Amino acid sequence: MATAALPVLRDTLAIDFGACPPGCRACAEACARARTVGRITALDLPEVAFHGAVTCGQCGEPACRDACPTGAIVKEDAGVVRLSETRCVGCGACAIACVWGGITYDLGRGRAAKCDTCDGRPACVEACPTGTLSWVETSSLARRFRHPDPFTPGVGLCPGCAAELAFRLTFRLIGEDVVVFGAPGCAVMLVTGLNASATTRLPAVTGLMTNVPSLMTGVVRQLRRQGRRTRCVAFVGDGTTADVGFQALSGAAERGEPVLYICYDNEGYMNTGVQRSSTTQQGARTMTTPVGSERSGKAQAAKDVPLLMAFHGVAYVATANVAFLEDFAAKLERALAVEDGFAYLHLYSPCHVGWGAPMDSALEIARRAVETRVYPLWEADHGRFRITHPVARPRPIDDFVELMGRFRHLGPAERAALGRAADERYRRIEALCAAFADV
Amino acid sequence: MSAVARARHHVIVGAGTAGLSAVEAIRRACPDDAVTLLSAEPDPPYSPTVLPHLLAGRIDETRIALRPEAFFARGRCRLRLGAAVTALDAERRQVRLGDGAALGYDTLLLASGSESLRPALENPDGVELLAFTRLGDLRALRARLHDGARVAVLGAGLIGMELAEALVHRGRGIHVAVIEQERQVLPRSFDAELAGEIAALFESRGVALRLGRRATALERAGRGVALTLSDGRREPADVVVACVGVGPRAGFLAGSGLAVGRGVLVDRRMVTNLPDVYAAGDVAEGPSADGTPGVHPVLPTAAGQGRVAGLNMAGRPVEHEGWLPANAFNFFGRVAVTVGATEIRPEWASLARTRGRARGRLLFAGARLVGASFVEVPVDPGALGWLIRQGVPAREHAELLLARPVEGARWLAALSQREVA
Amino acid sequence: MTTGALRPAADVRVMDGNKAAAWAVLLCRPDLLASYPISPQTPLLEQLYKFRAEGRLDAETVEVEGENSALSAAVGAVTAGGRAFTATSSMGLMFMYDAYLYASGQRVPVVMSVATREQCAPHTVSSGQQDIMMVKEGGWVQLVAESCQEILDSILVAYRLAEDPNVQLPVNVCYDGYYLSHLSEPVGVPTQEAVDRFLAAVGVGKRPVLSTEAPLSFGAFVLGELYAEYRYKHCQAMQRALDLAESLDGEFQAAFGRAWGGSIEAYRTEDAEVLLVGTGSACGTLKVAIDHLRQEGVRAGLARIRMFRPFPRRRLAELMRGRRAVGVLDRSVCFGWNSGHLYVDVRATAADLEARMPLVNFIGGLAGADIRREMLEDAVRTTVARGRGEPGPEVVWLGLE
Ligand SMILES: Cc1cc2nc3c(=O)[nH]c(=O)nc-3n(C[C@H](O)[C@H](O)[C@H](O)COP(=O)(O)OP(=O)(O)OC[C@H]3O[C@@H](n4cnc5c(N)ncnc54)[C@H](O)[C@@H]3O)c2cc1C
Repeated sequence: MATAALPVLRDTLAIDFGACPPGCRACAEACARARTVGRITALDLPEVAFHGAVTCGQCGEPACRDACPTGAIVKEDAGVVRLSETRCVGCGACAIACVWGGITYDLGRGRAAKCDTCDGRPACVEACPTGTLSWVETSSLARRFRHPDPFTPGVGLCPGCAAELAFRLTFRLIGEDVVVFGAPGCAVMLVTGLNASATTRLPAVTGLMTNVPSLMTGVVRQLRRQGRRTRCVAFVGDGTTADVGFQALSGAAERGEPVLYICYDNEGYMNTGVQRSSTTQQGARTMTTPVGSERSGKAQAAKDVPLLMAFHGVAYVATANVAFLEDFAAKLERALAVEDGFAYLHLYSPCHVGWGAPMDSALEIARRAVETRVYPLWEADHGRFRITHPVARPRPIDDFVELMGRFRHLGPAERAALGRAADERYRRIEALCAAFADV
Repeated sequence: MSAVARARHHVIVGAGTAGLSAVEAIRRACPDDAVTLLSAEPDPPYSPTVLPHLLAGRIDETRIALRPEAFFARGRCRLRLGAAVTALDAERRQVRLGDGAALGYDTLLLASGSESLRPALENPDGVELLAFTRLGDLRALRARLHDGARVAVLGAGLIGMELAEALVHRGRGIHVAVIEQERQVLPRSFDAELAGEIAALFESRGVALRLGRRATALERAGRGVALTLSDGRREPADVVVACVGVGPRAGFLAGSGLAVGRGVLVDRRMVTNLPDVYAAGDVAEGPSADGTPGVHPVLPTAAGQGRVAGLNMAGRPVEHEGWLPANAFNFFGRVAVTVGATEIRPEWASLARTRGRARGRLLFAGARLVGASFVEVPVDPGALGWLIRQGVPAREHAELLLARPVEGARWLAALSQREVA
Repeated sequence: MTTGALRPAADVRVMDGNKAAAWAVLLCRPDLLASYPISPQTPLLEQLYKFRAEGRLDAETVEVEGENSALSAAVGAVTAGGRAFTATSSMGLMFMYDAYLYASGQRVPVVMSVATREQCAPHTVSSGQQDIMMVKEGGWVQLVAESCQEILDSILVAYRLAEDPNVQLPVNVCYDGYYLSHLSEPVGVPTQEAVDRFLAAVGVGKRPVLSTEAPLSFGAFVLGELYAEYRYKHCQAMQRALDLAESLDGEFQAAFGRAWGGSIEAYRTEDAEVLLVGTGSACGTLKVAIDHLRQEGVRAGLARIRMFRPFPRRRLAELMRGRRAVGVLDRSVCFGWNSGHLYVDVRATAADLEARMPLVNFIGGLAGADIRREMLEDAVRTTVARGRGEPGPEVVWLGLE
């Protein structure tokens, strides 16, 4: 079936809701100056101690457009929901239809008014003193993942797998001048074919759990010898990375082999039926850390592999997940920009099957992992640490824990401890950022 | 190939707001499906909402098409103008067109809108009684409007008042009289106090209001006509326009087996009693936000119902949230907005605030907001509607909502949307 | 950078076995060397790194963090079309066993030398052949050298065999730790041109490699019948390696002016009543013992196994045919059979013969223990006695009993 002939999602304005400084109305004022009528609303409400802003989200299926009686509102191909002031008769139907605070009925002029993103250069963003408003180039996302998916559809991964999504996106961004490396684990279903049928037209190598970085070493050295800059990219799991294959990984990192190593971390041996690995979170139930009267899930905290990799002094290390696609793409690009050193990406990849969550929950879990500080998004670019998605006000840990059956047995105290550990992890990275912001 | 994957043919009767919203939804959900959009009228799709604005000269006919022509070329939507449906044969999955041809469908949407109700009055001379719901009505009216003409508008509802305002706006010495049986204008939209203010505004612009009186008879009088009112007075006029209400345009469906009450009866998925037949917009009688069924002939409801119908026709089971009364009025630059309930009930609390001409009133059932009306105050009716639908406990923030309605409502709505999301 | 250019054209130098191996590798122009230190092969890699540092060898060098990675890096380079070399011993070989099986199953023509060594536990770094015996079923070709010259020659042969399009298998060149690795002998070093000519038949472009132009998937998952086909073809390739080893000798002779010798060296076997079978440097002592006993009228001969895997079964059976008795010298033990490993293979080969003959196994030289001439003379006499029908144990532990 064909995909919907839709306007492509393009750039958009992002607002960190409720993160404005008190008394600041810079966005609304700048908008009013630029556009005669303010389209962004500063929600500066000292009476309820709230300071934020709202504006149109440029809906994909705008209710305002559907309600407009004169065709004055159009969803343009470029994504902007544009209001034609010369067609607007001021009936107000759009303002009734929109529940998002995205369209304003301007009393004085008897016309509706709404954000048109200043055609991609929003005055409000320029005026925002804190970065609460930002211009997110979603169109660049489409440009970044611009290559066709090189893998066949219908591979044998579970429906709803976050790793598969990340895998496909990774190679849509990288393109075709690449050798793909895998190891026994879930994602190997994508890397390698079964019998004589391959899953991809990319050259691919499935190694052992113990030797992927070493195989890559040999391949990349040989390719460079032939004068080729073909990328060598591994996409392997946390068992391979953090446990049985850690030695080879550490060796290749220390030698600074020019490869990109991506670990999709589903926190356990999922392919063998959900056993704990060293990255399994504390308290999580797995088949080897079951819950009974004398045991309550994994006793130890997760091994922080990305941090270990950062301290190998390699060119680039980052954590990422597909719930933060912009961040993910940027990090892939930065990792690829490293041509002569080792780059490591640690991808948080919720496994709804092994984590005891519904099939459609992987992205939400990934999102909340970040928002609760369980999984901070950061990078260490040539030793400079940076949190790429700051979480100033973390959501309560329960928002994360409640999504997964693997934590269901945890009592309030154990949950709180998880929350504290997440906080500590976040603050450790913060401290590193402060210490190694400029090296 | 599975049955679901087969490209299907959706027929939509009516190229208004509801019909087009359905097209957008189908196109998005099932881009390979074929859609035929039928309109009884020869004009490119438009909304009757524009009639007063056209009459007042605020906009001209070149700027009212609901979609550019290219919209229909793009995607598989065939628009057929001047193609009135005359009958429905649900058993054979066909509609019959004015020219006698039959058109088969896989799913059918009835979005034929509403038509003007005829007032019950004696008209022995067969005097022409105009309506004001279609472009054709407007053209007829325009043709009869000479400078200084006297226009009698029957009914002070939304359409009648908009017509009156447009006529005043148009100028050229036109005299307007509005005859209304209730003791106030806009009886279903405002309480007596606000209605009184609006009436005064109209009178100050020279509109004669005959409230508390019905027109009982119409006859020729010299070169013009004359109405007889229920208090015995006569109202001379050159043109008489009936704006006594609208009802579903469902006459052509008679005999089809379709269940029709005050409108074509539909559930939350806009499904009628006939298989694969849907209805949306002014023609439909569907559930309101609190579940009671009714016809709610306004744009946002037509748009929402049309979208839900389209998605269901495309095989995506989606339910309509139910319509919520909401209206925005702009008379002579004075704006009034109502959302939710307008009439207070004994068990509810009313909180109000007045600052000069600006005033607002909120109705609360316990902590929940159930109704809001504002005059001459910038508000966000969509955000208020969200608070009412979701039953957001807003009472503790009543002060904020009255003092700064836009910010207050948007803030509360955004917080609750974050929770819902 | 100049590569491996040797002057004078062909010369004889005194060098130990590790160095001989290093010279051979240098002459084969590898693209990548991977190294992890373990005695007694370490000086070999050191020598290669020295060549690299001096600019005589243009190869990537990878100092890996373990043997598994050493072999894997080499496998990677070969998969991408290069020629690679690594070396190991003893526990190093054990630690790379998964990669060892991966290399053969993937048919990766990599060459790895093994300076053979005893296997822990108990701990020891002494010489022995237990390590190569532990991996003998791993699907590799295994050549075992007797002298430093043969080490050099075997490495040249190894690349020819490994990279032959009809073979495509990894090859081990094994030589006794310390006895050869650290023993200096005169070694004839061929010219670069001669080696280049000898290896011209193989190399880049002659086998499928990783590339973006003609993408291939390496390491696919395989089930059932197709898996059997993989195995079947692997066995066929093994057989072809054996055939090629025999037929290559003429070419080797033409290129370098001396024989390499093929799968088995037959020493004074023509008129031999008893046959001794052995592999590796201890065969040198065995030859001296045989020479000595022949002066006493004992008609003994030796079949020295030069290609241990694939096992030269037919040739050995021919050499065994009609002997009164066969004695087998082992420097390893096969637990469970409670004999030496080579002995098990010889016993199996004996089944190919119509007539049965007494077989006796001598185990000695474990962990560097001396195998003196007199011990081997005793062993030959014991074999003769068994041929005369004298009873005795099947397995004789030299120096223990
Ligand atoms: C004067 C006026 C002012 C208004 N102002 C407002 C306002 O300010 N705000 C507001 O929210 N609402 C307003 N409304 C109401 C609003 O216009 C309607 O609720 C809305 O247009 C209903 O949309 P619909 O798609 O159901 O019907 P319509 O938009 O009326 O479309 C009906 C379509 O059906 C076609 N049709 C009818 N019968 C047949 C048939 N048998 N065969 C084929 N086609 C047929 C017609 O040709 C037309 O294309 C106003 C209405 C009027 C008349």
